[in-house]
Amino acid sequence: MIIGLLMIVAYQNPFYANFIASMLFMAGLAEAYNIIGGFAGQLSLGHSAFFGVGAYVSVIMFVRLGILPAIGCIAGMFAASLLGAGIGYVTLRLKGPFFSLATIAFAEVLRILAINLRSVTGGSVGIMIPLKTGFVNLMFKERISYALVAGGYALLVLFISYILRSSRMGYYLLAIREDQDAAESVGINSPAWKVLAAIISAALTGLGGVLYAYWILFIEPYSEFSFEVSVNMALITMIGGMGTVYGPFFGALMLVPLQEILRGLLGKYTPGLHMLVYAVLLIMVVSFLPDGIAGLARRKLMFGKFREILENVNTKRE
Amino acid sequence: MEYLMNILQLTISGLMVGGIYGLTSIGLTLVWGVAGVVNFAHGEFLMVAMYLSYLFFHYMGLDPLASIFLVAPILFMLGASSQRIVIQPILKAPHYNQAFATVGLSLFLQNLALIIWAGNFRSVKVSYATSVLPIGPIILSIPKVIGFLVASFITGLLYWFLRATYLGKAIRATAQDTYGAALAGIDVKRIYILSFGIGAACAGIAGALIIPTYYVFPTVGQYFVLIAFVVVVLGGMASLTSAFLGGLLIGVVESMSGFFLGSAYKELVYFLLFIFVLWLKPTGILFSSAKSSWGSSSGGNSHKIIE
Amino acid sequence: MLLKVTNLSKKFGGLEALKRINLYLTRGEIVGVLGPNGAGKTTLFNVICGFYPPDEGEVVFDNKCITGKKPWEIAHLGIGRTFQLVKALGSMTVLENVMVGTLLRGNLRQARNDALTCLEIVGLVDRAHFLANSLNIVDRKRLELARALGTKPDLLLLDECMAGLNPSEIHSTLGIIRDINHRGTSILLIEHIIWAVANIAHRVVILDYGEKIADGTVKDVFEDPRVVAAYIGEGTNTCWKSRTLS
Repeated sequence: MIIGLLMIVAYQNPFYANFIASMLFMAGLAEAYNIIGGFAGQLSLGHSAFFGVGAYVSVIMFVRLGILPAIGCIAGMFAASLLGAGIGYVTLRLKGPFFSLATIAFAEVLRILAINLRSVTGGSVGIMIPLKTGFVNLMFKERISYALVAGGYALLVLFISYILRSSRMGYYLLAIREDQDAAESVGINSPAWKVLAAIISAALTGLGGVLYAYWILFIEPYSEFSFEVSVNMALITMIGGMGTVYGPFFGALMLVPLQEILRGLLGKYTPGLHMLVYAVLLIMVVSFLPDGIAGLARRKLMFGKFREILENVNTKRE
Repeated sequence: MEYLMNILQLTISGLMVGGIYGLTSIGLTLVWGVAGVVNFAHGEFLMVAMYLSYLFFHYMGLDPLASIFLVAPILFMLGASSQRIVIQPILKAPHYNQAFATVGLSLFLQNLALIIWAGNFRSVKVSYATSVLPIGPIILSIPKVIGFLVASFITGLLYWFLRATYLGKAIRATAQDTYGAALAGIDVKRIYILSFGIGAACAGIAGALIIPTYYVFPTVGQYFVLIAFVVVVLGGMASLTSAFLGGLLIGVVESMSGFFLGSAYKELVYFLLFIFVLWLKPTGILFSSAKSSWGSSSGGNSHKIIE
Repeated sequence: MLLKVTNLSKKFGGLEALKRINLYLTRGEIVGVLGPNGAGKTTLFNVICGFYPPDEGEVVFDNKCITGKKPWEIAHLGIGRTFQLVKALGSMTVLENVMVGTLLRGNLRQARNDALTCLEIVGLVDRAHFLANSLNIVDRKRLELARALGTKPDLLLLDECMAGLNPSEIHSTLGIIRDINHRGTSILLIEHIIWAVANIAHRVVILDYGEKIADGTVKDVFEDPRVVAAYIGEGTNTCWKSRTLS
């Protein structure tokens, strides 16, 4: 069903292709974020760290060492996973706002490092990526190819998210999220699972970072590591529906167009007006839809019989 | 000997700035401890105050210090109405929803500033901006000294307020146990509004104190709010004094690392310090039992803010 | 000897919650842990289950030393527990809640079947697809029990699982506990409802201020003057006898 949706959405002309690509990238990132934020219930506000690390590692390898982006991509994901493991481990005992603040701190540390390690990272100016088209270079001539890449990415993360949710790991993460003590008392090794979730989420976010970098062809500390990037990921996931499988995907599908529409309508009046309206809308959505859009859907649709049919209720042994 | 003097100078300068950091984080702590809201818009309150000071200076010739008498009440109203409009409707929602609402608020204020004043850096040039007071070999920057003194005074005032007045005690009661306070006849919602107002006013005063020495631009709040968070975690929400001391500590750390590592890396130091402290003590240095989870507002209510 | 606790001590700051507790339990027994509030009963459970390490002493379960092990390791080894403040996994369904427990012992398919069995034992199977949040307190306690049961424990630690229930609910819970015991699980339970404990426990242990002050069959213990002074009180002494059913 989702694949069909995506196909329709992807067969667009070049003008829309860019827009769709950005929407789908965001969708993938939000789904990746959801693994930690939604399933594990750890609200990271520093996910830009993984995004940026993936991008920087693979771009540096390409631009400075001439290593093919396709291979650098693996390296980027690997670096992001390591970072994920590290951050996951260090923040194990942190709860709620402290966890969020610590993740912010990590992302800020990376941002400062990116600005200052000029010889490696190009400093605040960043690095421009020379366009060398080709599949292994992850760069393409046609705009629509990027839309396909983004679509593939979003699908991949969505798929992984779906598998995860219905697996043992899904149950365990949700249990940890709901009540860690109860989870531990039934044999769930919460530190191990939390770090694993962090690694997976980080790797997928890093992948997004790599693919995105080769689309934009430019990376610099602010757009890779800023708080704004992290907040965006978290916000889209939250509004779409934190902890659901499809929520973040649809959240992106709704919020990115919204941002663009606002920018189109209001951007010409004064800089900042469209974001102002966006901010107001955000506050309203957060206030009125605490479960996000997916939560709303769930409440409207999932009642008794209807739910039974949809979830294949079966109290018989298999 | 000269090396020692250098260190002393750095320490003193750091303390001066730290006073203001302390005041800012007291505002943040108050809101967090009493209403349980992690106010990401706190830095924006400071930013608004800075702009207001700037306006009063340029259009009324009012010295930033004097403008405190105007800025503080205005910021109080801003904080109180933020609570009433943004937070109160969602008091029952999980705390992370409220935090995200404050993120929305911060975006709103940043862009409002952008629309009104554009992205230019503005500053206030007071006559004494570069005056210094030499005490022996140590040089004290006058605006910073004034900032420190006022910040300390306000902190002391707040301390007295929380201890000696009924409202102050009501605030402390609500911070410790919302249900118990409500049962004792305290209008908890009013207390939330009040503490948000006071918290914003603290940020406001800090903003007015800072403007002689800092530029203001729409996103200046982001820088300060991160420092405030670091201070809150280090100094802890355990008490007003520890938050203030935390501010002083960060001021000194920043000053020292700015000198030894260069201004680029000074932020790095306190972020790493922040992470390190959280690694050792997951609820910050001076917490006893804290509102440490994002759970629904009906759970997790044991929290000590002020002894 | 399934469980043997030797010289267990635990301090929290200046408070000595447990003072050299010695306790044992043989396979198949139901042992009650009683005592005034603050005596250290839940702390004892927490230490046995690995939530806190003890300052002194050791816990041996099924001939393996489990002192200081992590809670999940202990669950693997065969101890299950319920909590005094019921910890339902709110946004998951009743079935999913129990599956979290049964996943310990099998793959997803087996876990699901086992979970349904557990729900049958506690009588919640008709509400398997309800959200845990929607259950009342009685059912949540049952759910708590079912989830702990899901791990197929040899020893089940029940912490005041009957608190706040009315007498008929207590009776049906007692029935469930007996059923669980007959299926082969030994039980250690903390309870304040003395007649309920008298009904079901083979032995009781009384704690007071962190020390064990009595250990024996229900009848012997409740006639011990020390227990009467610390816990039961005069006058009420015979009350529990009249409520005892066989």
